[in-house]
Amino acid sequence: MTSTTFSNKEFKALFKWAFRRNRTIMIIFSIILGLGFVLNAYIMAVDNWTDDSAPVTILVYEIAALFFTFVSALKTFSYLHNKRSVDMFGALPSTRPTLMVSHLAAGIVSVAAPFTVASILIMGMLTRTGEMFRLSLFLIFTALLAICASYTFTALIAHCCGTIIDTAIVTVAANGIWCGTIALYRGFASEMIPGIDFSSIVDVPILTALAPYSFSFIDVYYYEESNLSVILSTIAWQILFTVGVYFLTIFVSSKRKAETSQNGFAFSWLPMVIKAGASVVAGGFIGFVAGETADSGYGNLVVFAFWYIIIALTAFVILHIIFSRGFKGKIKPSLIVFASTSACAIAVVFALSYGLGIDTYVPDTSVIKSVEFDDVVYSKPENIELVTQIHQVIVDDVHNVEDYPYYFGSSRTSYYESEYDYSDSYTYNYNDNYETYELVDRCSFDITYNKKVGFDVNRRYYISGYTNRLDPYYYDQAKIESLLKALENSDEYKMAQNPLIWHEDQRKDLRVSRANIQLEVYNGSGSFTPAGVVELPKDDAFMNGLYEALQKDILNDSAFALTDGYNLIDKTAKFGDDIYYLDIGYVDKHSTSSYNYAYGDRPIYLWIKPDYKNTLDYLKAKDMDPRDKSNLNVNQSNGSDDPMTDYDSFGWNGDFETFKDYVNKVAMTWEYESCQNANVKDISQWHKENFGKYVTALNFKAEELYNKYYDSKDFKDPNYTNDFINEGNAWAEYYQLEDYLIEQLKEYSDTYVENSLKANTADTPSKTDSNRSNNNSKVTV
Amino acid sequence: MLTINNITKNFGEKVALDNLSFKIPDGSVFGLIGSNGSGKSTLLRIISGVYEPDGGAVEIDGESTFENPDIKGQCFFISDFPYFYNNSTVANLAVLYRSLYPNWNEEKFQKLCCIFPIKTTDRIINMSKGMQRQAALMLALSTCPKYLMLDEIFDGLDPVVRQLIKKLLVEMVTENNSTIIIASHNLRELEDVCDHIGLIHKGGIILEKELDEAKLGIHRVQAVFENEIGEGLLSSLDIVKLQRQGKLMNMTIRGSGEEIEKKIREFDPIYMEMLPLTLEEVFISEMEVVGYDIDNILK
Repeated sequence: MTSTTFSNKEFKALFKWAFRRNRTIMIIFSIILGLGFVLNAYIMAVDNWTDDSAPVTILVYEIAALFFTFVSALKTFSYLHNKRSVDMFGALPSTRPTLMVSHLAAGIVSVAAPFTVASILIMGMLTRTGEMFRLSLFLIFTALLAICASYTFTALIAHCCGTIIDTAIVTVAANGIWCGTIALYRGFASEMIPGIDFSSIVDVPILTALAPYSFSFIDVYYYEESNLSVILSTIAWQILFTVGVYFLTIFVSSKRKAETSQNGFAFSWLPMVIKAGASVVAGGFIGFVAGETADSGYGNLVVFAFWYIIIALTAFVILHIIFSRGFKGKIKPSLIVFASTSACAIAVVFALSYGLGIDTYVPDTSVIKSVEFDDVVYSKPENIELVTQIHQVIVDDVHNVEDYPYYFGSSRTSYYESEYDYSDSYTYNYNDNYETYELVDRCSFDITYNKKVGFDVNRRYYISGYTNRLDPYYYDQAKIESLLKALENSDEYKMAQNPLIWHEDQRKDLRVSRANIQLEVYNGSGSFTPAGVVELPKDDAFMNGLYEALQKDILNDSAFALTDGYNLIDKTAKFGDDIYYLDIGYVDKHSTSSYNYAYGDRPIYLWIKPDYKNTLDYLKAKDMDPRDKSNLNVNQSNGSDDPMTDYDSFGWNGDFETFKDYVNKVAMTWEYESCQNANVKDISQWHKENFGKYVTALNFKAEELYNKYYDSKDFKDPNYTNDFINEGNAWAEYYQLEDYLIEQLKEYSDTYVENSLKANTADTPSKTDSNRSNNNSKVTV
Repeated sequence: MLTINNITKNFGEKVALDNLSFKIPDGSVFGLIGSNGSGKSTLLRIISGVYEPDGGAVEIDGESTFENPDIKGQCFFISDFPYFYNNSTVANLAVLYRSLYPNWNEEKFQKLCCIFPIKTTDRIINMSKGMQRQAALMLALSTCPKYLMLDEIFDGLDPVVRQLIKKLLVEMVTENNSTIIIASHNLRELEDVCDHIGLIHKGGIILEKELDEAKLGIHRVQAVFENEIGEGLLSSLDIVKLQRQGKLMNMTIRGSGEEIEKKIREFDPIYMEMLPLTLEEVFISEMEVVGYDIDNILK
């Protein structure tokens, strides 16, 4: 029927007619879009703007397009809402579906065409990179989909209503009622049922599944390669929804009685549903918020019920007056629908809470395909079993812990709100060996069962509210910890947590940033001093060997060392420890973009621990063992050309500037004499090699001296002193110590330069890096 | 042939048309008359496919008119308040109708544009009521419809234009064998142009026949009798209405004129005169029969 509709002459004639009718709106919309284009062009011309800002402008265009979609749809289908126009259009030699389809098509084109043209122009003007080009295209596509969906949806509502104002009200209400209903149910479920958490189940695509005006914003919200399946399924649903609404509109248009125009609604059930739905949602929302503010267990239910009745009835009466144009309409059937809806809503909430055993449900392992437990996906049966056992330990005790029968507004929320407060607590025990599944600092477990058949099962349990082991614990802590330990040592955990192996399936090639192993020295206060780098060859053969060695070490390693870089090091390293790490990136298989492992732009460092035998042996075999400090090149550490800058960040508090001046003065004299002695013309090359080594030597000497005093019994680190009354004295002593260290360093420096001058009177700067290892300038400290 | 088969139409609890059936022969001008709210406009809307009947069907040459573009292409309906968009002009509506109606006659349209004093590029919405109807009629006639439904078409037209329109309608029937259905309360105008009439009241048909037949089937007789007339005369005639003024009797009698005259003469009237009824008198007489008269309304 539809193909016939589009091809017949009635469709073409009516399409042209409807399109002409939409001309005014189209012109206004085009002018607004044009203004946006001119504004962007002006900014480009004046400010030499070269940003990739097309997506932002397209998004603004889209908001305007959706507004005009709403206005245009109301105008286009206003022929249904006037008895005289119904006479005219009804008598035309056409079927009502053809009339609807032609008007719908004309309306969509009148909005979509200017939007598409303007967006493509903006994309051409303000897109610089392939990524932004793709994003812009994606935005245009999803916006067009949203325009089609919204226009069709409004057409459906227009066919169900008898007046424009009712169409407008119902369109807005219908977009909001679904979102409100889902959000409310989820809110109640998360409030009442342990394990059900709003934040873990707030599935935006479902929340907005019947709200076409929000479609494209959801797509953009999820625009990320990792969300590809969500985006595709959401878009597939949106297309399905649009097609479904389209055919439903055709059906409704053929069933709509022409005489219902100017009569409020074409179908008497619609105002009842809207009144009941909107009232329940409004009452539920306000009741929910009011109930949350109350602080007495079951008293929350009373507060909720009070506000629910007040708000829901008020909303109901207001909508009834609006829809009936006064009190004339029959209120009794609507009230019955409203009461039934309220009763059903409340019954479902209570059934969910008490009747269905959701709170104690643990899926059988035989039906689970995989389970995601705190961001790690387990698919091996033994690991799935471990997760279900942890889950079982929790639910076995859940009735006692959560005060069964549950009431709305329980204290579970407060655990959640406190989660962020606990996140900094690691500073109290940073010297402990950190364990990833450590219960301390933890607030909740997130479990997602991916079943072989059926929907995923999501649970979040707020398992603890404490910051140290002395606090009371709610569940069987010992049992949970033993299960967690077993889980930590599974290959799946290690594979998932390790940045080198993570995303292996996506990786096209391995890249080590700056192609180095970086050596840094931990200074005990949460930061590191770059101390040098070992330059690695960039060839694939070397990288593959390194990757294999690292992978062996990682899988042999205990769990605790397998999480991300600095935080982990910070928690395990001791003051003055050497830290070797790789800054790792990769090139994605599916795009040309480079990524760091882990979260977006956050750099991830892979720590080469002292017991990474395979890795260190591999590097040693390649004559690149970072433990041999002669392999280190300070000049390239942290990417800085000025070694003194790196040294400056060593973190001493003494008169460092004086020392730096001293070193520079010595260096200049030394440099001059060395070059004179060796008849060196390329001073910069000499400087790069010899001065870098000199600073490296000073660095290690400083470290040695510092450690010597740091480890001595008399040393009191003012950063960690408990003697707050005499803290000033402690710092004074500390500065004196540093001055003393600097004096010793000066002596060391003088000796170094003197020895160097003696040893290198005939020294010639090396030409290439490969000569460096043979260079007789190797420093002996 | 336009056949109306058991048409029923309800608006909520109100019955607008109740099992209505009659036929309208091709090439006729059918006057649809009836009391206010009798269902004339509703019937026209059903015939033209605007409303879907709740029961029964309207068929043209055996095919239902509802949702039938082919049949509706042969029809045109001008409602009692023709609708025009704000920016509608005769010219741009002609563009729409030209594409939609298979029998659109451009030559005729141009001719009508010359006949009617309307500028085709003016916005119709700004025209007077009468001019708007003329515009609607120009477009309707240009589609050369086989069935033309007109609701209160004479409203707001001056006598000259009324004459003009009647002439054009008759021409259309003569030239194209078109069928015209006119619903109107202006019975004087209908009498001039219609050859058939249908009288509707409360959703039902009271009478449907040729105008002449309708007019000839009912007569007003004034007669004076020497003596008191007994029940014999009154019962032998189908008297619709009887008024006495002394010896003068005013009677509205159904039946053939000759027969009525013959029966009255049998009672030796001193004076007797048979007067023809106007359509309006026929309407009033018939409506009185079903209780729709001033006396009943005032009760």
